[in-house]
Amino acid sequence: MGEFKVHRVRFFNYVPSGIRCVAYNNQSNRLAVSRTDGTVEIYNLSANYFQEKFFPGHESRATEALCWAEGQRLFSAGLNGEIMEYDLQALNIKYAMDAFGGPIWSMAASPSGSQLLVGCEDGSVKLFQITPDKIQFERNFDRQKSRILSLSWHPSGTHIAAGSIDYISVFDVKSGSAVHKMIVDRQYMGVSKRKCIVWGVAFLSDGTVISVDSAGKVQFWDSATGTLVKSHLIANADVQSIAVADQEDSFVVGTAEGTVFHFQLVPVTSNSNEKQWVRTKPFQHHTHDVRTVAHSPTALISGGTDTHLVIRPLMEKVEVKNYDAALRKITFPHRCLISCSKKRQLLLFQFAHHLELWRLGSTVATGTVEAMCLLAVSPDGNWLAASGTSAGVHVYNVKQLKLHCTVPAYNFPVTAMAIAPNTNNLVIAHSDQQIFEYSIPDKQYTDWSRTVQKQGFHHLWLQRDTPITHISFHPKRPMHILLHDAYMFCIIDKSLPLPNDKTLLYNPFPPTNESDVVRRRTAHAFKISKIYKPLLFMDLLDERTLVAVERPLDDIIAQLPPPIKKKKFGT
Amino acid sequence: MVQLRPRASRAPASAEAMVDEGQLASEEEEAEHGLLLGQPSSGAAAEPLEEDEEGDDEFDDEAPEELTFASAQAEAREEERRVRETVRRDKTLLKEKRKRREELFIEQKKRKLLPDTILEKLTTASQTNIKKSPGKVKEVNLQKKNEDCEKGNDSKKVKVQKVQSVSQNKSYLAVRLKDQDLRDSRQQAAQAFIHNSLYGPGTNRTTVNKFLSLANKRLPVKRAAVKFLNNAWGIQKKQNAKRFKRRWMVRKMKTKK
Repeated sequence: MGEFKVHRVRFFNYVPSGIRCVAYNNQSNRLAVSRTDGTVEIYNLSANYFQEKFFPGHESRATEALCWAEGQRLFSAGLNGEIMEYDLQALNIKYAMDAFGGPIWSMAASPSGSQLLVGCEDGSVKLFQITPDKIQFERNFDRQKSRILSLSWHPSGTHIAAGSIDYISVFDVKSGSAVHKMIVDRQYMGVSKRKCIVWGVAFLSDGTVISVDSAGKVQFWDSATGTLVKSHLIANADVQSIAVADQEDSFVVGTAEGTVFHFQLVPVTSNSNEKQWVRTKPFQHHTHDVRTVAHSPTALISGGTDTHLVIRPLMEKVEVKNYDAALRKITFPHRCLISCSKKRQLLLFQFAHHLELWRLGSTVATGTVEAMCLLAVSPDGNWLAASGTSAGVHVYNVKQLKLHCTVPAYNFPVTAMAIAPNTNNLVIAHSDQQIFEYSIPDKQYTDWSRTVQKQGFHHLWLQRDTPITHISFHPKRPMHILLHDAYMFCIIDKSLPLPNDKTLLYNPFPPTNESDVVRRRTAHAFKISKIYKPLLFMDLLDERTLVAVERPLDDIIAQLPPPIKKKKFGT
Repeated sequence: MVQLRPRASRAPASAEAMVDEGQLASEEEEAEHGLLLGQPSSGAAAEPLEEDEEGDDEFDDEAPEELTFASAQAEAREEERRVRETVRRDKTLLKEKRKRREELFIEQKKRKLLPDTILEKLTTASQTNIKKSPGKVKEVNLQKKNEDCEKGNDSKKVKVQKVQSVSQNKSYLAVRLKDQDLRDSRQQAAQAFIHNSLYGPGTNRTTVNKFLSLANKRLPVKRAAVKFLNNAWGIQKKQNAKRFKRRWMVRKMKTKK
């Protein structure tokens, strides 16, 4: 394997922005996530939670609400007063329509998926009809005194509940008039001068309205009579989000302290038919406000100001209890934000609005610049591999400018690609941790790739939960492939035998000084090192030097907004 | 010959004859009162306008001229026609005036807006300049010239070209400055509201530093806070101290010599 000098880079000041909204789509098992800087990301939950689509954003288009409508259409609305529809095929914004009500605070799609309801700053609730290519304004409901911060449809589509400041209104959809106005207490059994903001409402099919507010209460109201049924005080800070499961037997709420509570409908005694809502599980996976939650049939999804997306599968809903049922925390980006110029010893960092170019050391190196992520260029400049949203990786002949061949499609998206310097083998890594090696001149998979596929990967390799984001090669050693994900980097030596499930995948190595890499211990092909983590990028600068860009979590947290104060005994 | 009747009517009649309209009027009246000529009037002063020159002559020499209904009707029609003519002429004159005024205003308006050449340049320039990532709306605010604003013509609006789709070809939008200001102020008010409700007074917030250090305090082996040193403390004092030290060194060097 050899010894390398490592440039350990920690000055890439990458701070992701906080998560503002999530929206779960049941039919396609996809999750849309919008952040405070306006970017919208689409995660494919069945493809190992891989981020497959990305819409770059701008602060002026920061979203306050996100929802899916019928036919896989994604809409968002924000404080600039516009409703935007995203084109998921072309990866751009189809159009932005001004709602003329001032900043928009909330949006909800009707249960049938054909209508869109929007709650605005001036207290008006506007109904839009979703036409095949656009949306069209239908009518206004009765205007309320204060801004409408949350909306929810009754599953039958006849009534809606709207949460505002200090009160909740129930509207009748057909007439547009307010049927009930339910006043919310400012504090549970106490006195408070601050206004009580109803951050979320949910309407159940039996007519119960669940509201969560800034005093830390979860309250159950009866919409037929307009009265309070039950009140739970669950936190000392705001409860900011609520999401109900489709079967309406459980819901999840998120608080500003970072705690996520799960409520379930359980029978009062083991035999009775009568059921009641009980707070069952608390989860503390966040440090800052949990501003949004979603409930999929098998998992609870939460996201907030601390920028992590946490997906917690529920044990009782998961059929097979394997590694899939573990917690998933998505922190680091699934794309490569750094590129490296080997000849010039330069690193290019990609931020949201600017790029930074840094120069490393002063060694002489050979090699060429390679493109990023879904494009890969061969070092001799003859071939270009591109993978997009459609299946299959296409390889183009650059000199003749035509399609050379297509790698057969695979049902999981590609996370990283690279072309080896001399052999012109295309190495592709997928989101389910499979790796393929395809020979471009021969137009078929290489023998090594076939052996690997036949034997299968080690089970620990497949259980890694961060995708491989970069692949590179050693110019003088064609049998080596260097790849990394967020928590490890690995050099695959094709000349050595492959590990089977019984061998140790991660070899312990003797303590050496920092600039040395894993030493050869057992003779199997996957040499894995976890010295540098969390790793954003790793590449080979020349034959003797590596560069590793890390991003410690503490550095990210140090730049986040202030969290809620927690009082601990003894401090 | 002794003239028994005073010719008082002559003077007004002759005065009328000098004016065109007066003649028409008198002819009209003559037609009206045509049948009355035969009747003896009580006094010449009572109806001086009735008679005119021709009437005078008739009195003198011949029998009163017979005025048939048809001729009178014809004359009446003539009168009407002539009146209508004048009215129409007046109307057309007014119309002309108004048209000229309108054109003048349009001229002035055109002069106020940017000349067409610049507008063309703007549209072609922004179409070719598509280096932005797809999905970004570029807003071009057309600025009014200062002297035009001073003219104080509020009804004039800059042409708003609203481009619906935000595809690669049309990625710009021209808006009115006033609208944008209103929108910005509302957006800022909304952002201020949410900032106040989450981070404003009355919320129980702490710094990230203290939050992370809480765990350190409870460890079996207590550790320091995450960011123990506060380098931003007493900047002024430190600067003063540095300056003082430099001066002291210089003084020391001088006295040593």
